[in-house]
Amino acid sequence: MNANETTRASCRLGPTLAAPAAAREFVGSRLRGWGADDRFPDVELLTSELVTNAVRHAHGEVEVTIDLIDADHIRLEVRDRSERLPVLRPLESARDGGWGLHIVGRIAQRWGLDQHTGEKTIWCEIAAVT
Amino acid sequence: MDGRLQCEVGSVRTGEARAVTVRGEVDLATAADLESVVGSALQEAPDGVVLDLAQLTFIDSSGLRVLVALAKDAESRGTALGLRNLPRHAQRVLELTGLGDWFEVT
Repeated sequence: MNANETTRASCRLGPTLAAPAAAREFVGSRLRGWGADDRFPDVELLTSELVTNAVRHAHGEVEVTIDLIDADHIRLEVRDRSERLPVLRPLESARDGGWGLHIVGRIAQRWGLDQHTGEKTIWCEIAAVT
Repeated sequence: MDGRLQCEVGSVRTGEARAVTVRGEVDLATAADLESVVGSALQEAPDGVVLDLAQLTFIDSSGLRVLVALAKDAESRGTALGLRNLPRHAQRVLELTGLGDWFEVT
């Protein structure tokens, strides 16, 4: 990785059923381009979960940002056009889904929500596998 | 069916679970197709259905939600939904959600 190289990239997707797969391809191709794909095997699962939530619960465009912070950490951000925050239900009562955020919570080192007027961002950071 | 998922339903054999081979990705776009194909297969499978997942390349919680619904369907028919040749990535999703108990994994 060249020090001058940009290691942050975003894409915008329509809120369709195909958005999770398109987002996985986007983050996968960026990480491959940065030579980092083999160090973050869970990033496609995380991307899929966050974009699926955005498509199911928000309306409008979804923006996905992948940022290779350093050789061992990435930050993933998924912004949607809804201020409504997701509810993390207990796993045993999440019968019809609602497992996505649990997966994010178990994989990510840190994750959180930023709420703004008319939109929110869910972000998470993951460490490279050793 | 979305091109990212292909399913092949085996014939019914007495005394054996009916095999369904699943290839490709199960996510928001394809989970409904999987539910429909396997749900139909279960209707004519007195000994249950076993999914061969050797060629499953991706599954997330949308796919898992459908697998759990199908397992409940099988249970209500007095049979079971088995999972065979579970790839490492799918095993990880089951572990992360604690839903592995729903299936007979072989």
